[in-house]
Amino acid sequence: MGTVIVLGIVLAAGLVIASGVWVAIVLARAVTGPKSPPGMAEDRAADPTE
Amino acid sequence: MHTVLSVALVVGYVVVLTFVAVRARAAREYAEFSLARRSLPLALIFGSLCATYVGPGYSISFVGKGFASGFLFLAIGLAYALQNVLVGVLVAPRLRALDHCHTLGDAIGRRYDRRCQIVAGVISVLVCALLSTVMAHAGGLVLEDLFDLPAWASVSLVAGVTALYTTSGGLRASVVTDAFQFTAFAILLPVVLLVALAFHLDGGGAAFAQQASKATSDGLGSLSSVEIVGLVTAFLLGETLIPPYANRALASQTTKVSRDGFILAGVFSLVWFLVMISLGIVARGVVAPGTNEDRVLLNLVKAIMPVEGYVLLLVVSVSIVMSSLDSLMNAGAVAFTQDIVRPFRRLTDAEALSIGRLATVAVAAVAAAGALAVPNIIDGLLRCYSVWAPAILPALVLGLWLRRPRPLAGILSMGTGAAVALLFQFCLPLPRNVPVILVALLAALLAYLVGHVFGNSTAESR
Repeated sequence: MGTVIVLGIVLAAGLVIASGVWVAIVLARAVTGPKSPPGMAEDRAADPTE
Repeated sequence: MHTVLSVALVVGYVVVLTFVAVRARAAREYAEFSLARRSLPLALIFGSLCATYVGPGYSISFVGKGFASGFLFLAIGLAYALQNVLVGVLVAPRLRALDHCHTLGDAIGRRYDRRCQIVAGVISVLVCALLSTVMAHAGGLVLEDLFDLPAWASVSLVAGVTALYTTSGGLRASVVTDAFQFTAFAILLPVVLLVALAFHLDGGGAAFAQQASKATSDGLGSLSSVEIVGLVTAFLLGETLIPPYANRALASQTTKVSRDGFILAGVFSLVWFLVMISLGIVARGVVAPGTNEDRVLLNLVKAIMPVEGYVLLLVVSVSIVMSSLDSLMNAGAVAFTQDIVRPFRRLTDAEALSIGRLATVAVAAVAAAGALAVPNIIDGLLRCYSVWAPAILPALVLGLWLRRPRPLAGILSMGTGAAVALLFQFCLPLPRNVPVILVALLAALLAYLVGHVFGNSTAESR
């Protein structure tokens, strides 16, 4: 039982790290990209209803 | 050698953070300062939401709660995850669909009238300032440990540096630096847990389960059922759509991004709580019993990580605080400009931007000045939540869902909710630990009902 709990916690830690890596990749693209970085383009016409 | 490496790590972290903040650029228009031109993609909304809520309450304090009460606070944290998912499904897309809204007060003003917007603005600024003082206090604690500074200097440094980039870059800088700070602590703190589990868990999984079971029983024994209901309510409602979250809902690229960002952040919160509480449980075998809950994480890391790891964690802890603090400063400043100044005076874009920047500095000053009076992180947060939820949520949620909300109902609900919460929180404590948030919420809902029955609809009152 204890081992299963610990394995679950290790999995949770892995998920948190994976989320951090995902955001890091998107952020790196946004801040190192060209003048209008992806997702941060100044002249993007935001459509509230998609 | 250790000192050189530690200094190199701190300098490296600050250089990368500065690069990210500079790339976010200074806001040149008010729409950029307040809503980042409504262009934020899912990953940044998710990272920023998580960075904002994680804060010291959901990291340093949750490790302490795991240490003292085992998995009890994981069950209570479920309420927080549920709240985020519900906001994502029911409220965030509706907020995002309102055009030209910069703040929650704006949204309330749109659904009711201008008076309601001003009342919501005053409450938003007050709550942002109060929460900022708690964050500055938490950041000060870490800096005291890192540089051995006096308390006043630590809180001034945290508030000052945060104000610097938030004043210049507005919401865009806040979100981009939040995302960077999120990546730092979302990678580092689980690594600390993995190290602790791999090398410092004497007795393996069975010992962990035993420690968890004993701590959880102790925790359950230390709280009455009324107190547990109060905590669940505070986690379920207290932080719902506080101004920084509402700003992120409004600044999303689309309604779908707004919805998905909150749902993902809700699911992530549960996984995060599990990691933090597990750190606290592992710490029971490493840290001395009776250690102050707010110091368990720092003491654990000091005991099991190399000096460089400890220094890096302190820097990341300051980051956690700054990511919450910058969001609160920006949200408070935008609420002041949009909901308190603009209803009385027509402002040019440049004037609104200048007022927003000055207000950011003012919130930072209040945070630094008030931080020294905060007794305890989680108590400070819970007090703020008990004011926010009754004051704003009934008016906001019912306003978004009712076809013809009545301004009288909005005003009465916000005024009564705030007054009852402040009265019982600070002047007249309730007997038997009855949760203030529940009593105030009930009063606000009753006041809303009275206002709805006797008030005119929005169209008639205009």
